Amino acid sequence: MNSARPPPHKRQVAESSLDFLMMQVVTYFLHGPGAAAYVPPVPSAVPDGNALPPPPLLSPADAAAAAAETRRRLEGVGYDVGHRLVERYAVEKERMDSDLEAVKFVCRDFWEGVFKKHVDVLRTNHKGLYVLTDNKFRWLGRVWADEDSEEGGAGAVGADGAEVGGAIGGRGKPEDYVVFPCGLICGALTRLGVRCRVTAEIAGGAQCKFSVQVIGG
Amino acid sequence: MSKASLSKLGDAAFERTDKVSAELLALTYGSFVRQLLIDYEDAEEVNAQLAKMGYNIGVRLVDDFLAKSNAPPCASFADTADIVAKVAFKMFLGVPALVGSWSSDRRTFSLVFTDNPLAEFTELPEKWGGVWYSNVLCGVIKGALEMVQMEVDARFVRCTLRGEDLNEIRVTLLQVLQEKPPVDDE
Amino acid sequence: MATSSGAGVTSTSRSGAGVGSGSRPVGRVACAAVINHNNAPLFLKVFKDAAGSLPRQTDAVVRMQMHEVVYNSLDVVEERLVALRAQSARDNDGFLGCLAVVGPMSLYGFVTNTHLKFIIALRSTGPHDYKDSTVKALFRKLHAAVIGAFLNPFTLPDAPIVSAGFEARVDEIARRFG
Repeated sequence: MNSARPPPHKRQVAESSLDFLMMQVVTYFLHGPGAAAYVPPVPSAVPDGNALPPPPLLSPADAAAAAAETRRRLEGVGYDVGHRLVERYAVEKERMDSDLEAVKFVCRDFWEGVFKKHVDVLRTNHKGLYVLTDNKFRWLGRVWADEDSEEGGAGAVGADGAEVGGAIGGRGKPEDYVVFPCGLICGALTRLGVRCRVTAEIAGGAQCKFSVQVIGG
Repeated sequence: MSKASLSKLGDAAFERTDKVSAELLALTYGSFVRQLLIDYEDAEEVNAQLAKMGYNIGVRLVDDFLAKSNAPPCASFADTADIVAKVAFKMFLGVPALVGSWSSDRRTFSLVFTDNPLAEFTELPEKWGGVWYSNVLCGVIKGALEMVQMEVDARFVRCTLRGEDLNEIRVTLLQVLQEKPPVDDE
Repeated sequence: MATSSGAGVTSTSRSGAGVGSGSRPVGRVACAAVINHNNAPLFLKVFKDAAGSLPRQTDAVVRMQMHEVVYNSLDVVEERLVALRAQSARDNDGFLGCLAVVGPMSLYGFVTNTHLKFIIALRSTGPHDYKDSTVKALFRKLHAAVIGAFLNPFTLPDAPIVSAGFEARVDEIARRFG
């Protein structure tokens, strides 16, 4: 049926396919059944007309712990992807003899493969901290931005106070969309021999700074 | 519109659209499916979750499709089938599907495809043999068609990950819907 | 259940000519191994006849012997890696050359940027039977197969590779090498 397909590493799909999938993955983990403290939407009244009591609120500490756990799980999915994908992009590239070389590879070849551009600025304190700045991070300002302009009914409110599901399901904040990429970077670097922790900071507009803190010697 | 022109339309839409690595999509999807299996531990539940997720995607994707594909309006369910197979599949997945096995009442058809970008390298472990790995696609079809006033049932009947030669999704028109306000998809 | 999609493993157009006794052709690939950065084994396949096993040796014994041979060669891998660092990073292609000659086999090594080590044992009479370019091509194919295995969400990258598709690809690589 398909006689002339390119080799696997050159095959492509529409970027919107990934965007749509990512929106659902993020929703599942952060606001849906995959969230650690997911509370399914409840009907607002029982048949005899009395309102059900609201779901018990978690204490702030518990809510924070639940939110951290859900982010960790979403990051784990990103880690899994990065960990595997880097194998593809690292083929026939220059040997990386240092952490810095590995980080530079992520900034160039890996970023190119995933985001179709290079990281714009790399800074390091030469003591194990690297800051990767992407001035126009591809996964910000795409699908979810369209969501904000739609009407959206109020959905059930989950234990951490965030909207759960929502009438249109899949709304999220920009911060939600940098969790997976943190995992992606962490997975890629770990596979290259650099154990690390990665956090992200949205610096305004679509600019995103990923901080990589190397762990261990 | 002839099948050949629809194919050209599909190719052109795919050509024009921004693209990413298929492996990135496949890995993201695969990692997610594996996580669902860990969370639910039940093939049927996972199938249902994938279909639901697909539905949520489909209701949004259809606007993207209509805006970018230049697809002509569907005059019949048969047209719809061809457009899904030749234009939508190609545009979003980079590979078209074939339409076949029409039922005598012309309300059911099969979408058949060998190449599946979601599962190029996937090998389903035996214990998950009950999972329709790419079930998200069924949800997408259902959600998207509902937005254009067709309520359908879409389900996998064959999947290469289960040892078959082909992937086959069977789509049945349940009813034509009247225009109504946007649906809740929760 | 396994899919074997043409995973970009291009084949050289060698005919299946092999050295062997009797009528059964013996391939030249005796063993292919994939070892993790921490020296944990991810995959090891022995092609018994090419490994020069004695007729009565069981598969298990042959496998164990090969395991030992491969693991002993890891010391040489370490030495070569140290030597490699002295070279320009640009010239890096991961190839470590002939690590050892053991009985009727020569062992060759390869390391990836992700610190995976590949060992291939080829049937030979000495370390110069095969051109570097020939062996490098073999490693490239093995590498492509490993990448494919990692693209299977049900293969865990730091665990032994349990994949019918991967094993089939390795068999195919060995078969096509001749």
